[in-house]
Amino acid sequence: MSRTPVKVLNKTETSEPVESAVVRLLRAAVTAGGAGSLSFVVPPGAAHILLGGPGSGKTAVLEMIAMARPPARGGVELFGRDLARLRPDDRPPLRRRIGMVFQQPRLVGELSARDNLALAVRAAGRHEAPFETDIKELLAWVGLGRRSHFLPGDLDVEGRRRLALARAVINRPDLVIVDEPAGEGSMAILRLLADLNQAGTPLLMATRDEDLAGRSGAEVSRLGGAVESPTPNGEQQS
Amino acid sequence: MTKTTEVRRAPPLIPGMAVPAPGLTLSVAVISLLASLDLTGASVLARTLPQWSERLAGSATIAAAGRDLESADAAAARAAEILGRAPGVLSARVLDPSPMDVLAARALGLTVGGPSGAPPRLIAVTVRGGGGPTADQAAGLLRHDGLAVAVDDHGPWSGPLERLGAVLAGAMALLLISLVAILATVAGGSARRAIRGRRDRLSLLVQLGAASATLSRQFRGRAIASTTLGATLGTGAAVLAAGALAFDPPAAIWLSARLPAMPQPMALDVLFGALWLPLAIGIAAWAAHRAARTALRSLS
Repeated sequence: MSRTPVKVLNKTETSEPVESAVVRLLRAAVTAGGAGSLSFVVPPGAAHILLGGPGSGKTAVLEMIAMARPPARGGVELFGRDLARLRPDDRPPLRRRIGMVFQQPRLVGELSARDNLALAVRAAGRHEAPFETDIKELLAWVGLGRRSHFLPGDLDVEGRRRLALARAVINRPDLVIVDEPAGEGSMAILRLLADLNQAGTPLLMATRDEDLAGRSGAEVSRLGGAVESPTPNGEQQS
Repeated sequence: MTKTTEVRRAPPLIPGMAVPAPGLTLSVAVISLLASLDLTGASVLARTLPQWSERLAGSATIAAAGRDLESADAAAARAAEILGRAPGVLSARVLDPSPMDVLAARALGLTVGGPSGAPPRLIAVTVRGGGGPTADQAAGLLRHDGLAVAVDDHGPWSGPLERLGAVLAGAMALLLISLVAILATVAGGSARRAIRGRRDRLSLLVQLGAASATLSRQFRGRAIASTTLGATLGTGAAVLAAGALAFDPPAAIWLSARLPAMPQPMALDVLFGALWLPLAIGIAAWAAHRAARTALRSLS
């Protein structure tokens, strides 16, 4: 797997204006009742971790930020835009600025690894041809350079996660959202995410792994539910 | 050394969008066939009914039977000759005998048979508008010469025929409008069904930043392809049907005897097809795009 930063990921050379905050949540909640609200800010280039146990609503918060579900209360700002005030036509351009790595990779089973990336390019309304080099470069970056013609079903769990990460960054997003990177092969994914953040891309990550949150040095927002803590012999427990 | 270049076709953004929808294609074909035949019927009606009406206003059918030893044929020939000499009569022609003549004569009130029991013969009479003898005058003239006749004045049928024509024209226009509405409904329904069947892929594409206009364009494109194929098949079938009707010898003879002003139905349907095709494509594209935009709103 290449550890060399790839050109497509380098956000430090961008000439685009940078907002004061990539994500800003102000007492935002996914459900109207019961669950508590959440406030945090992700500055440009930063990494932020949502830490919470199973069922604590991490995925729902990420979906709220990615405009897959509306907040029940509170305010959510993305790239300086209040999501509550967006018109339907304003959402796709904002979504294109987000690279989302879902908990389940949601890859298209009948398309090869290469075509899954190309699909993301075309979904964003762009022509595939100018992205040919980026696609190759990114597949090599995630270690799938020689398996570009593989169908997702032919890849192992880690391979599918890497492919999902490559698809998330193919459109040069201004924010990468990752839902639960911990699990089988998580170290490789975490190294790639560290590369990405080092190249200037802000990260928002949800995890139940308290150790990971502690080691990352990123800002951490805690949600409810039991988290996984490291045991003295290094094993994880919930 | 030869260098081969692989030509790669990009897979469709949404599966199944690159080929026409069979259900929509078939529906459009049937709708187009009905619309073409409807227009052919309306055109024939518009051309022939005024002529029929005009002819009826100045025409009559006379049933003539022989008396005493005179045969029906001789009586009919004599009646035609007498009427032909009357002022204002343009033509008086003995019609070819037909088994239906007995029924026609009976309907006219003539039950008199000749000495041989032969059926009466029919004479078609055309008079100059406003100048010829009335039905009663013609009957009196022939009876005066010793002929057993019954006269049917066609004039009173002219008004009801015109009213029937107006009703039929209205029904045909209504049918055409209904077919256009059905086409829009079918195209919209087809797009909605296609979206329901591809919800997972669409929600992924939306999350990847696909604009609803980009996605609905896919469904519009499929509606256009399906409608183009369906409308071409439907109007093509109508052209062939019209052609078979016009050029099949018995039908052509039958039609030309009764509808002298019959237009070339094939040519008419070809012209209609040239107009219908863009209209149908436009309607289907609009309906599919509108249905897709509405259905995709729930995903975005």
